[in-house]
Amino acid sequence: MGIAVFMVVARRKIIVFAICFVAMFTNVASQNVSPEKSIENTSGLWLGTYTKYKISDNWFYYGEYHYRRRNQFVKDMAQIYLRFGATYRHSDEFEITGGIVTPIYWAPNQDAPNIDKVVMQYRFWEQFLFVQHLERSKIYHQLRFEQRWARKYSVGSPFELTHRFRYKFSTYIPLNNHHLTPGTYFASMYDEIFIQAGPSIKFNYFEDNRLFLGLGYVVNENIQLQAGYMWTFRHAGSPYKYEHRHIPRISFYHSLDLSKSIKPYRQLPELPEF
Amino acid sequence: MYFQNLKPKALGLLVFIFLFLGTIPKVSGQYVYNDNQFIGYNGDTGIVSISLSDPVPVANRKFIPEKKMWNGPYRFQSQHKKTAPTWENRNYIEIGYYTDGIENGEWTYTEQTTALKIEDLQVSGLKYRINTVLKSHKGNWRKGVRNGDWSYEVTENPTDNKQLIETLNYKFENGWLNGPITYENKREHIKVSGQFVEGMMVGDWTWNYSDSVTEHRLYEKGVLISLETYTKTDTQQWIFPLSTRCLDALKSHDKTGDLVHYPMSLTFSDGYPKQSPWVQIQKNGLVALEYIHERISAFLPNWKSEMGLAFGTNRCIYPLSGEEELQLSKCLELRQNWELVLNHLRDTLSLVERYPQQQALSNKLRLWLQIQENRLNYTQTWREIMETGRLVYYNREGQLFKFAQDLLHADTLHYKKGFELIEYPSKGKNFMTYLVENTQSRIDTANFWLDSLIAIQKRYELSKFMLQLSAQIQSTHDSLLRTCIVDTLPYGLFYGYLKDVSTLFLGEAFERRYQSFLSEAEIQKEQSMGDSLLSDLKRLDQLRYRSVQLNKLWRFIDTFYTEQRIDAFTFERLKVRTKKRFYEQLVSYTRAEIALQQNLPLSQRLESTQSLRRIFQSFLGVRDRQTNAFERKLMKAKNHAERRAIWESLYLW
Repeated sequence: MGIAVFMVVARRKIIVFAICFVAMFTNVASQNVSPEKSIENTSGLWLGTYTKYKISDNWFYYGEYHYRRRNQFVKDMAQIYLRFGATYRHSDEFEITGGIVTPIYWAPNQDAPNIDKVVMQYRFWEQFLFVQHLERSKIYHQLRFEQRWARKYSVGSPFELTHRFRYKFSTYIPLNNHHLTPGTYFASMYDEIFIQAGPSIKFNYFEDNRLFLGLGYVVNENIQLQAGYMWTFRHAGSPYKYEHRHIPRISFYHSLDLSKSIKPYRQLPELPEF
Repeated sequence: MYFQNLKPKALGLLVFIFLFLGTIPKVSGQYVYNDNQFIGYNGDTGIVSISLSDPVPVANRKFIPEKKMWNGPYRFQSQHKKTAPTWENRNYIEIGYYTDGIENGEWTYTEQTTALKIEDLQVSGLKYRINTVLKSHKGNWRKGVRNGDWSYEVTENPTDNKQLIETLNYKFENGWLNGPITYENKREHIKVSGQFVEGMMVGDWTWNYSDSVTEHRLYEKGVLISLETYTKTDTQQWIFPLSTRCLDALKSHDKTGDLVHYPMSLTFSDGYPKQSPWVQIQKNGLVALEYIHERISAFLPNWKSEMGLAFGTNRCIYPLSGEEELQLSKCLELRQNWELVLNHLRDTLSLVERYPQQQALSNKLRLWLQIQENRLNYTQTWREIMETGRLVYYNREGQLFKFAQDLLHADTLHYKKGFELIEYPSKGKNFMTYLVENTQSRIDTANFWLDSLIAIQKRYELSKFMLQLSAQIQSTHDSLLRTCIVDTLPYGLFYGYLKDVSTLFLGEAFERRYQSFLSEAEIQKEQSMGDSLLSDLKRLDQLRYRSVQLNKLWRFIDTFYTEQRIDAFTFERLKVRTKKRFYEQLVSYTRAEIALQQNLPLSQRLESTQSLRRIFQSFLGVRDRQTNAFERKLMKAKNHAERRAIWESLYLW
């Protein structure tokens, strides 16, 4: 019953986000008219490792370890992004994850005065993942909330709390198989929209929209690889400044079953006698 | 009054006699016993009047007061039986005399029978007359034995139209028939005259039959020497062959010599077989002799039973040699065996007779068996003679030996078309040896046929068995084709076990073996081929069954070593192999093992299935156990044989 209610709420949220998404583009289109508006194209490279280790029947350790570069894809160091969490898998259609994120940001201009070249950020994050099972593939609706304590690069700047709301719509489409079993190539795509809020957020509620197209391969039941191209369109910090980012992403997914749960009893068949 | 008329001298004599007689105790209690319900010797009930005296018990006389002795006149008269019709009457009267309880003096036995004799039946009425027959037997006894003249007469209608039917006159001396004898039977037209010496027929004996045939016989010491028959047209003379021993006995001055000197038979034989002319020629006179024998014991049943054959011919004694005694017991034993084997043969024949192909043999054996049965019956007398020790009275080297040879040397089986002679060779030079060898030869013949019949029976049984075997082979083959090869196994891992069986054991290969099995002439070889074929098919069926079972087991292992997992990232349901390396090692071992079995005999394939079953079962048991060391050991193994040993050691875990 609770899940059903939750699903209804989730669907409503999806609709709200969709409206915001459309409104954002409408807004962007209208602002394009303004001569002050500038759009910058940047590039980067994101390498990421995702881990999910089953530690009991319903609990997983969740970890993301990203290494990100920027400017001409790999010129400058961008972030080391570490996300840790614990996942409770309620069912095959829904799970909740919560934890902390400790990204390390490198200042874009390392030579600038009075800045800390590398700053930390601290976040709590919560995530709700809904899985829609289709015949051949699945659609994942991911809602992620983050409470970020971030500071500017300038020396002595304080940590300020902001909120981030993310909705990701993703899918994997197996290419050479009906299901994502070992040895399967698949197409991966998602779109994720970021909304931010907080005392310091005055005009840039829309933070980012990431669209990813990639190709994946299920190596075995524990390892998957994905590589693809991500295009993001985001607000670049001032009201008329926007950024197109072109980021190839290479991701490594690793899962393990560390649970030592007792295997269910299986009755042996009547063994043949001869 | 009587005594008053006697003179004193005479009276004194009387007194003396009286006193003298009074001193004899036996006369003292003399009286007459009368009984009107007395049962006579012949079983007649009648009135008896016996003079009895005291004391002396006479326990052997029934219905007489004990401790009384028959002494004096005796008279018995039968009463008319109440159950008999009134126009039939029989009166029997015995009149005689007993002295001290035994017959003595003259006796008369008279029987008068009256019967209605229908002479003619006409429209006017029944013509009949009352016929009375009087049979009278008279003679003398002395001290309980017959002695003196005896006569027997049969008279019809003795009062009005007396006709003498039979007369017999003969003599006894001290219980022996001794002296001349004449017998005439007017109704049968027989006349016989001759004489006896101590029961033996001696001298000239004459027979007249039907007033036209006369027969003379010359007996000497009861031995028939010659026989002559005269008819109006023909004369025959028979000199009876006698053994040297017999002739010597006749020549001997000794009254008996080697002769038995006891009436042995009314017909003379010096070892003459029953069917020999020497016996047959005596048959004409035998009737009269039987009449005579019957008449001399008329109304004397006790005497007849005590005396047995009152008169007859003599025999010579031929003692048995030691060898003959042995042969005698052997002969009796063989005879018994002969009967047994014939019964066995008869039973077995009845089994074989069911087969139409054996009709000719069955007919032949039936004929042969019939002849054997006849021989057994015919020689039954011989057996009785042997068993009762009378063989010594038979000359076993003369006629009897020849007759035995003629009778037994061969059997002639007469068929619709022709005949068959079955001979029983024997080198025996006397009756007993011949009989033993001949009987043995017949037993051998019977055993030979018995063996043949048993062989035939076995052959038929075997052929029936072969039919069943071939049907079983065919049905097993068809069933295999239907069930295992076509339907089940092409889809399983273990089809490898059966992959090449079609070419090796089924299809054309099977047909070749099956046809050569069917066409094999030698029965044992055929059976062996059939057994081998069936056994291969059964092994194949067994292999099929085991392969199916292994397939099932394998499927279960597959499931058992597979876990369902939901992928952590994709939420995809995954089948994850448990102990993947261990599992893969088993898979590769199993595939190698199956591949190795191809082109090998079925028995080795079966052993291989056995081994795999054990390994699989053990494999199931170690799913949740630590197997790393085992896996390493398997990886280090150099060849399949080593791996097999390691895998089979899993069974001991």
